[in-house]
This record gives sequence, structure tokens and C-alpha cells, in this order.
Amino acid sequence: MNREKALWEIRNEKNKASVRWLLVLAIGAYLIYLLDRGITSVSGGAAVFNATYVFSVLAFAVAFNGALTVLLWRSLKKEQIGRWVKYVTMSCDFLLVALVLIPTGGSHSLLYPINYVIIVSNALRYGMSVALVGTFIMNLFYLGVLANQYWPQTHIPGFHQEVLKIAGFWLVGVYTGYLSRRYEILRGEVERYQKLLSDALADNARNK
Amino acid sequence: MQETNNESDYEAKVERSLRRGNINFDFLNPVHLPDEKSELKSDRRGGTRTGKRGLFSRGWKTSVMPGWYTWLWLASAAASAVGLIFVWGSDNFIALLAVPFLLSAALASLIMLGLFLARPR
Repeated sequence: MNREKALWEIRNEKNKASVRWLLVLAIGAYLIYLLDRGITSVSGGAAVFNATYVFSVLAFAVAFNGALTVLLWRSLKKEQIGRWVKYVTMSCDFLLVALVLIPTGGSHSLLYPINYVIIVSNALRYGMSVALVGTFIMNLFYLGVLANQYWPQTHIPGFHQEVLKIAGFWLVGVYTGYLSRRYEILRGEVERYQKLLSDALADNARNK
Repeated sequence: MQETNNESDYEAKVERSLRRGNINFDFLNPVHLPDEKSELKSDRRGGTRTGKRGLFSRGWKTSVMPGWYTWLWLASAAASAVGLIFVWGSDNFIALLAVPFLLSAALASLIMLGLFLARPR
């Protein structure tokens, strides 16, 4: 990866880390409020929604984002960043959302749309391949949520609704990836025309 | 006379360059004009933050694809559709794992099928 692209990815990851701090604060406060009021819309094992679970999830989120901030700081000094970083941050974001879905209603949780924020922000920044990988990873963690909710029962109620939810998520991811690709192509065309124009102007100046 | 020729050649070159940005099927039916320099040597996927410069101009070697590929993509689209029907019919939540893969396969094969059906022959 060259310097320009590395700096661009570091800037993207820094923006994502800032938004992640905000979300950790907001969702952490919401979970603590639910815990404090004893509101349990828990799916699966009710025992999971306790102070240990909530603070463990929050500690994981803070530790992950803190480690990422240090990594980005070091990457900025070296002006280099691994290609894997964006995949790891996206996967951890989906994992955190899945961990938050469990105590807030599982497949019925109101926090499910946070997954859309993650896929759109990653697909717009990095394009189609990251969007596709994101839809697969999110699906994996969401199945984990469903397994926690229904296991050992494999025939779940509202199955078709779940299919449509996953298909809708995939569609959003792919369409955002397509828009990002379209933007890249248009940008390439503009660059091509700029080069063509500058060549023509240079030729013109030489012929005078 | 020479100047007029050069000018018309240059205009044709500009015309082609402007046209190249739009979707074209040259990658399926490549024609190399005498004044057109091959761009195959420069790898555009060099990792720089530049645009992609055309959906099909990604630095790959151009070659004519055989006609039976159409049937291959048709079979792939049909298999994806059958897979989706199968998932819809099952109530097992593990089948949900296949949904994004089947949808991606269906979309990719339908796009390729459309391109193969629309290509100039």
C-alpha cells in the first residue's frame, strides 16, 4: 500500500473510531439504564442480562477502540497501515452489535438497525468487496444471536421475516458498494478527461 | 495534407478516449486500432487512490470469451434461484447462513448473463 492510500485509510479508521466512542457511550448508557430499571427484554437465557455481561461488553468495546486508537497513532507515525485493519474493525463492530442485541431482545431488538450504519459507512468508504464481506460477517454474528435465542430449537418462528431481514441487509450493503464503485468510476473518468485536456493543451503549446 | 490527416487522427483518438469511459464490450470483442497504444503494461491496480477508470478497463489482458459461457452463467443463476427457493421452504435457521451467498451468486450470474446476451456477435 502506498503512502497516500495508507493515510487515507488511517483517516477513515480514525473517523470510525470517533463514531465508535460516541456509540459506546450512548449504547452503554442505554444498557445501564435498562439494568438500573430492571427492564429485561432478554432473548435466550435471562441470566445473561446482568451487570457482569453489560460491563464486560462495555470493557471489550473500550479496550478494542483504545487498542485501535494506539494502532492508528503508530500507523500515522509510520505512514503505513495493514489492509486487514478495516476488516478487523468492521468485524468487531458487528460482533459488538450482536452482543448488544442479545440483552435487548435478540431478533426483535430495536438496536438491529445499527448494523445498517456499520455496513453503509464501510461500503461507502471501501467499496463493493468490503460491503460483501461485511454482509457475510454480519450474517454469521446474527445467526449467533438467533442460536442464543432459540437453540436447541432449529425451526424458528418468523423464519421468513428473518430471511427478508438478511436479504434487506444484503441489498443495502451491495447497493452502497455499487454507489461507491460508481463514484470511483466517475472519478476515474474525470481524471482521464483532465489528462486528455492537459495533453491537448501541452500539444497545442508545442505546436505554436 | 499531412496536417489534416494528423488532425483527423487526433480527433478520432479524442473521440475514442471520450467514448471509453462508458460501458463498452471491447473486452469481449477486442479490436486494436493501429494508433491505439496498448495500456496492458501499466497495472492500474497499483494501490494508488485513483479512480478505477472504467468498469472493464482494470489492466487485465483482453480475450474473446467462448459462447458456452452464456449457458454456464444461466445454470449458475438457475442454481442460485433453486437454492433460494430451498432456503425459503426450510424453517431451519442455519439455512439463513446461505442467504447472502445465494443472493450474491444470483446477482453476479444475472449480471454476467445479461452481458453475455447483450454482447455484439
